[in-house]
Formats: sequence, C-alpha cells, structure tokens
Amino acid sequence: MATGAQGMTHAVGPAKPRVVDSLAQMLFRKSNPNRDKFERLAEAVFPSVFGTALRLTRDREDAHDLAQEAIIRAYEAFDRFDGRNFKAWILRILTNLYINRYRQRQREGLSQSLEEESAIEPVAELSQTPDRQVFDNMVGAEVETALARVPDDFRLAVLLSDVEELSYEEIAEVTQVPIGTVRSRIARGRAILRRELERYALEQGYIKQSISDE
Amino acid sequence: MNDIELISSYLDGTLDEKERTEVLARLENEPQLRAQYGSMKSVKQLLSDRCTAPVDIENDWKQCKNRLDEIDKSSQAERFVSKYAWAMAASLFILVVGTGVANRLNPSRILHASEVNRYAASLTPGLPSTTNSSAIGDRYGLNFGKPALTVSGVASGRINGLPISRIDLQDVRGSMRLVAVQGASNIDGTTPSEDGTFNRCQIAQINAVGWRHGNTALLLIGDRNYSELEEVAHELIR
Repeated sequence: MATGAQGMTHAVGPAKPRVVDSLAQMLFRKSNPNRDKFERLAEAVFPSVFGTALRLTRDREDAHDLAQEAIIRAYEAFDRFDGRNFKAWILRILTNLYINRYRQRQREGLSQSLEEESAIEPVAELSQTPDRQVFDNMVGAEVETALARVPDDFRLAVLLSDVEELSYEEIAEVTQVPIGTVRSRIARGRAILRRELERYALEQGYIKQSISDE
Repeated sequence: MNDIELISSYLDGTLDEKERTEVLARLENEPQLRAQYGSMKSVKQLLSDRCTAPVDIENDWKQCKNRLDEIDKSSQAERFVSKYAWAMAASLFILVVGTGVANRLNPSRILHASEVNRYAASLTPGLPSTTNSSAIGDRYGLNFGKPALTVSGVASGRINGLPISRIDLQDVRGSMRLVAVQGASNIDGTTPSEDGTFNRCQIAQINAVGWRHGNTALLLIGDRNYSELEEVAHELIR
C-alpha cells in the first residue's frame, strides 16, 4: 500500500511544475504579443550580436554579459523600434553599451582610441609583401588575434563592414558617426589590419624579414 | 579622400560614377595603387572567409531567453498591480473594516488580570443600595449578606465590549475590590492555587484571586495574603 502510494506520488510529482510552467507561459505570452516577434528577430541576429560583442571585448565572459544586456535593452525598448533594420538597431544598442560600460574600463589600456584617430598614419602604407605569403597559412583564430590588435573604432567599423556585411549607412547608424568617418575608419582599419597580419605572419615565421622589407 | 579611402570605397562600391571611373583609370596606370587595392581586397576577403560566427552560443541564447522570461513575469506582475490596485485597496479596506466589525460583534474573550484591574480602577463607584447589591449578587452568584462584609461602592462599564462590574468591599481587615467580567472566557496572568479552587496572581504587587461563575470571570483584589482573600471569596460564593 505504502509502495503504491509512493509510486503514485512519483508519477504525479514531476508533472506538476510542467503544468504550472506551461500555464504561466501561456498566460504571459498571451499578455505580451511582442515577445514572439522579438524573440524571432533576436534569435536570427544573435550570432552577429554575440560575435560583435566577442570581437569588441575580446573576452568570452564579457561578451556574454554584453550580448545579454544588449538583448534585454532591446527588448525593453522594442516598442520604439521603427521596424526597418533590426540588426543595425540592436548592434547600435550593443555598441552604445560597450562604449559606456566596457570601453571606459579598458580605455587606459588602449594605445589608440577615438580621440587619437588622427594619430593613425593616414595611409598606413600597405606593404608590398605578397598577400599569399601573408594570408595563406592563417587560420580564423590568427586573423581574430590580428583583428584584436586594431584600435576599437577602426576594428568596429571593419568588422561591421566585412564580417557583418553592413552598408556604410548602417554602420553610420550603428556607430553614430557621419558616413565620411565610417569610410575613413574602414579604410584605415583595413590598412592597420593588413599591417598587423603581416606582423603576425613575421612573428609566426610565415614570412621572412627580408621579404617584408622589400 | 586619400588613396586608401578611395580604393577602400571603390572596393565597397560606395563611389559615385565619376569617382569610380577615375579610380578605374588610376588602377590601370598605377601599379602601386593596383597592388594596394589587391591587398585591401585580400584583407576584406580574409575577414569574410575566416571570421566566422561564434560557436557554442546556444546556451548564451538560452540564458537570454530566461532573462526575457523574468522581465515578462515582473512586468506582468506590475501590470496586474497597476490594473487592480483599486481592487486591492478596496479589499484591504474591507478587510480592515470587516475585522473591526467582527471584533465589535465578537469581542476578545481573553483578558489579562492587570488590564481588568486597570479598567476597573478607572470606573467611579457610586454608593450601593440594598436592591443594587442584591441584584449584583444574584447576577454573579455572590452573597453580600454577611454582616462582617459590607459593599461600599458599585460601578459598571464595558471592557472590550464585555460588561464589567466593580464592587468595593470592606471588612475588619480593610478594603478589597471585586471585579466581575461577564462573558470573559479566561483571565490571563493567573496560576491555579494548590487545591485548584481559585486562580492566584499579583497585580501591582497586590494579591488577587480569581474564579468563575457561569460565564463570568471574577477577581478579588486586596492587600492581604492569598489564603485570607480565598476565605473572603468562599464567604462570597453562595
């Protein structure tokens, strides 16, 4: 008898929370119709949100916090989203969060920042080292390492353009700077990255100093 | 626009027709610019090919969804509160009023000895008539006819909605106060005597003995020992 009663308890016990959870879910979903729409849009762009966060913070844990905070801020402000470009909108939130929170913290450690933009060599002379020698042996992680050496504002512009494939207008919207500045940052960012890739290739012995100096 | 910006913009297809024509002409005639263009194109291609989407982010997304659930739940609770605030306020009001009415209709039947004495002391006793003393005696099962015991004053009132009477008594040893509360189920702060006939307590360092008659709790308070008080109480009880 006792065994039967226990058995019954075990059979009924775990089902209860599921019923309560689904009921609660049904209730709040019913009262919040925007949730499904937001979740669908956010899930689609989450890899970009997380990837951008990761490439900005260069730390997985910070990236997790930053991406999550951006998603939450976006959800809270979803009724103010104009319905045009969700990815650009949420990346703008992410960028603002990063600037306000993380970059303040990291600013001291940066060798070059927005204020020092003019200090970057205007042309950052592209090396004459053959591209194939620099790039052929590079794997994703090495490219990421070189990218991480590019100053924040240039890195953000380059990755929004070449990784996230946003247009100049969208990048201007995300970073809240004029298109001319976007153009300049992308160009300089690529030139700096090229230099960093070459430096990395030298360090790793993919190319020789003599070739690099040619 | 410097050369790097020019070839970068050309690569991204953001130049106007005139600029594009100019760049094309320069690329044909300037090998160094052509090399820079090729190099920038390689960088762009490299980023596009090798900087892939981060992996193992399912758990991160799941945690985001959990946070969204929490937000939904708390905002739902806020909406509920703001929507039904008036109803909750009304319920609270009804509860407070209802409790008051219930207390009025069904007053506390447990009183503390000191509380009873304090209230009795606040009453102003009047001179008793024979009829008056006899009526009180009948009501509380007391015999005030003993020649050694006289009633010197009587007063009535209500404590917690219950009728209370104060009867001041006098005998050869001095004065005493008898307090009777009708409907009191118990008087707290007392302990039973050895034989269990009376309850004993001290109120402001003055001894008191208590007993019940029907639905009435009685307390005899006097500046004498318990045995003497119990002796008087025995004489009073018919």
